[in-house]
Amino acid sequence: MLSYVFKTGFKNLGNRKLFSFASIGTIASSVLIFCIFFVLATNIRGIIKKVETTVGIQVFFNSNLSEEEIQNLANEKFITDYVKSIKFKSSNEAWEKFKVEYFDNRPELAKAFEDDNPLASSASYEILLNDITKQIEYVNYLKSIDGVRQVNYSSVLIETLTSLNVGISTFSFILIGLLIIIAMILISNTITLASQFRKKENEIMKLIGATNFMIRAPFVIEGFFIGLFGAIIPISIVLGLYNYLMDMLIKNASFLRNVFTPVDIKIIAVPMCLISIGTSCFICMFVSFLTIRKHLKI
Amino acid sequence: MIRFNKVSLKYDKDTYAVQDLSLKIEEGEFVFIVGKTGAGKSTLFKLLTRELKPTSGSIKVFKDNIEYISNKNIPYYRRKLGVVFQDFKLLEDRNVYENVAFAQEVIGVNAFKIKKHVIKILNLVGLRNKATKMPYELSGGEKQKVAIARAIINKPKILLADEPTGNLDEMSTNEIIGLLNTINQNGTTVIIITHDMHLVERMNKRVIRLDEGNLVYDDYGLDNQIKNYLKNE
Repeated sequence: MLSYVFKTGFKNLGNRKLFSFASIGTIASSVLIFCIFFVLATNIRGIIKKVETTVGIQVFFNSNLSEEEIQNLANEKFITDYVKSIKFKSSNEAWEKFKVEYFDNRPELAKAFEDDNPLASSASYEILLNDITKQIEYVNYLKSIDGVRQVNYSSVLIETLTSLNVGISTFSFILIGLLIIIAMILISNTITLASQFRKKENEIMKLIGATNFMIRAPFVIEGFFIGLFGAIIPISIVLGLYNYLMDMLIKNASFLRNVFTPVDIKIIAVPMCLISIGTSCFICMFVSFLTIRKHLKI
Repeated sequence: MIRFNKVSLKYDKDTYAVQDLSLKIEEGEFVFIVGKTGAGKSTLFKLLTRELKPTSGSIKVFKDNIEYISNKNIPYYRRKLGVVFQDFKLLEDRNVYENVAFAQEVIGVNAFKIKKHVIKILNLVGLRNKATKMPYELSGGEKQKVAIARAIINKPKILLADEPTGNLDEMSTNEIIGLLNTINQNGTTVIIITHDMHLVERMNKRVIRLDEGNLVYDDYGLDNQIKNYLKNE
């Protein structure tokens, strides 16, 4: 029974090549956009994750506070749900670090400050957050605390990444939505044509005693194949070109090298394939089912 | 086996396709349904296949009132019937074997059994050597034999044929009627709807004549009115 359903569904696809091709093409365009969006979003999430673990907030305090008072203040007020880690850096540590970074080749210059720490009031806290998108909110909170002199953070990077992610998502969803509507209309037309083409066959089936399932199922399977091919083609393109395009990007955009490591294709492939094929096949089968239900009153 | 009890079917307020039709057909009978165009023959056919439902009265087939069969169960009822049409209704893109096998495929018979059954049926209708031919390569009589093979492969208890010889020459008509007779002798109830009074006269079987939706004759052989008509033809 199932072999008949699959055989007939597949054969139907070939009987109306132009319509099938148009339906598959439209579905493929939607899935291609989805895959590109998925790859971009996954990589942007990768960057954000990296930023979250490496780019922190640095908090400086009023010079009248002792290091002990600073630590008390931090313990009391800095730790919230957003905070992943918090690390104190005393003014001596700050000076040592500074010396290494700036006077490493000229130790005699550092010696000039031997008994006087020029960064005496530079004790600070470095704070990493769980969710980088909460940074602005948390920074504003820090600024409102009495005793906090200055809060350093990279607002531009975070805002850019977040708005880029939102922008790509919105654009992709609108485009995918439009393409899905066009695809649904085309699939519906393909199935309507198929039902007209097979009118005689369906009439005979009815009189022979075929169940509604046997009459309708080949059309739904035809929809399944449209969805399957419509997903496999763009997935193959994206997976095939991914590594090549990422290499090109890194080579040509040197500024990205420090912040961007492309997400491994193996991590992207499984969810992308599952979502694309699953959604595509489901939509196509659903539209086919509704169409054939409308046209084939049994 | 088949019982029509005061069956009427109204198309609109005043037009009846069949009116107060009562008849009985027993298991194993060979019956001709005759009448002019619009007499109600095709309506009777469609009532039996449950394409139409009577507006009043009841139709009992195999002990069940078929007007009460749910839509879901209609396919299972139809599997007990075999149907043959004047225009053969063969699938032009499939060969003889595939056209006959189709009837079993759509009801879910497994492939091994299908092959066995199709070969047996093609032998019965004398088309074993034409199994790979396409419908356009066959004569009218051969096409109708394929249609009959398709109708009987699922071993129906009743075979309904709507003008099965309408498009055939005399020789093919005789072959087809001979085949239907053999099927009947093997135990299947055969009901043939036809215009061909000469054929009905030759066969001398039970004849049910309809006129404007009413049953006007039910007996063996043709009634005098038709016999006279044929004489004066």
